[in-house]
Amino acid sequence: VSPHESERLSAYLDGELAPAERAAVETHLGTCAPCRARLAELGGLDEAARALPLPAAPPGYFESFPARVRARLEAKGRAPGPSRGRFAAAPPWRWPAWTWAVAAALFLAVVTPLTLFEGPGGRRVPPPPAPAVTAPRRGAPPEPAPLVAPPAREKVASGEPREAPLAPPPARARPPAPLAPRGAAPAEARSGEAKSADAMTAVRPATAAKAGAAATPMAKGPAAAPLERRGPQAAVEGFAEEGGEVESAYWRLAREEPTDAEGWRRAREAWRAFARAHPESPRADEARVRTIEAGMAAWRLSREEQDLDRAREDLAAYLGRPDARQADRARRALEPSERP
Amino acid sequence: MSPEERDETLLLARARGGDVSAFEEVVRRHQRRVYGVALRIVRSHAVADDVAQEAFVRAWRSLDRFEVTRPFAPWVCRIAANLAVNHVRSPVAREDPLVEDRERAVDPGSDPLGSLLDAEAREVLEGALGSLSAEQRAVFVLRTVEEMSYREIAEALGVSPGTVMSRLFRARERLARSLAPYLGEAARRRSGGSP
Repeated sequence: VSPHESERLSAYLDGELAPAERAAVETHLGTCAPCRARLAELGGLDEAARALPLPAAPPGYFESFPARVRARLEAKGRAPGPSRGRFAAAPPWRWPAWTWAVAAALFLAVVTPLTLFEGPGGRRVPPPPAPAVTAPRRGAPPEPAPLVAPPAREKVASGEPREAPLAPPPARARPPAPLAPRGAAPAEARSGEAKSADAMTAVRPATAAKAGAAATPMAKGPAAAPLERRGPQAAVEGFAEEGGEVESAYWRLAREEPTDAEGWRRAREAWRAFARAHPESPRADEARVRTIEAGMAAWRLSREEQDLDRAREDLAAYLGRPDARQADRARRALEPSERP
Repeated sequence: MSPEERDETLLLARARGGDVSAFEEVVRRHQRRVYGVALRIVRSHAVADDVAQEAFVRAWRSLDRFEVTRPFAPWVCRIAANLAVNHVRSPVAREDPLVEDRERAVDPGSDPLGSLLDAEAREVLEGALGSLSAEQRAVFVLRTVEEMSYREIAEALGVSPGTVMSRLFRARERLARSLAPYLGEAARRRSGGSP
């Protein structure tokens, strides 16, 4: 069978030939045994490929998938915007911040001496006010990065005035609830909570009782740790500067308090999705640790091996990250599984 | 239009109005198919997961341009196929063999392949599929598994129908060469002939 005939047989098999060509192939097939055999082989190949079993997805994967997509949608909103992670579009080119500083320095180096010359009337022109931006030496290393809040850093670097921190919304007055299912908490107190996937992102009104109960874990949380060095108020301000949808998504997740293993699995996947969607956010590290903690919370309630395996995988992945800031806390999350 | 299709049309209409819960239900219905398309092309669970998620996210963002009375699944599968091929073509892509989940593979007991090819042949076919270029594999998967027309595949991958035809032919040639010893036997069995 020639390649040309074979290609026509391939298209014939798919029903993609024009009527005249199809008729010609059928006529040929009536007299050519090798082409008939070839057609049968191609048909068998397709059938075999269709029947080839796919490796099964990890346990629980499809149960949590819709919630993870939802978390991404809610994090992004409908407005078109660049995707994150693997499918992120290349960011538009911007001049590095230091080039503006160099340009400003050059400008001043040229303009300032000119302004010092005496004017026509013998009057000395006063020098301009001191520049707002200190020009680094050419080739000098960039300034050390602030501890948090890259967006604010960008504003400073680009010479824009730094905005006053936004006042934290009322919800932020209440740090998120601890992730581990508090065994001590009465079950009836949570009995009315929604358990559906929708509940994963539902915003519930904060109560004074919850506010008191939840303060400690977050203050010790990883995202908070570097901020604590700048004082508690700076911590609030640092996150407030971020503002926007990322913060909203974070706090929606942080307020969730699932009551069953399935709810914690959804929480685990929602945290995972959050960390993937916002890898550069100061919240990403916290989200990664919460992924592990939510997984362990699911395991504590289900005692299913697959939950523990997943938590171990997540811990290993987290500890393998060069930017993991809460290794001890993450390891502690798995301690209950090591007890007899 | 069947009740199920009507139901989906309503869900999509609600989703287009911004109802995330309605879209989540649509995702639930089609996630396995979309994930399957992605996995067959990228051959890695982690990447297929990303591709499938991204396909739904992009579908959501393009719902305004989608005619909700049309079938949703082929559309989102085309998006997934396009993303998958682009990923595999990208310099950062690294194709992982599908061995990691081999022990979890679904039981092929009821599949028709059982009567055509044995486990060894499946192994050979798996390897041969892995040796195809991403473009060839995508075309082959979209045609044989998704049963898309050449025109639909061409639209999904941004190529001409003629290119689809030639890629498909080359993919089949290559697979057939790898599977030659088994295909002859399979063809004989299909036609009812004795071995």
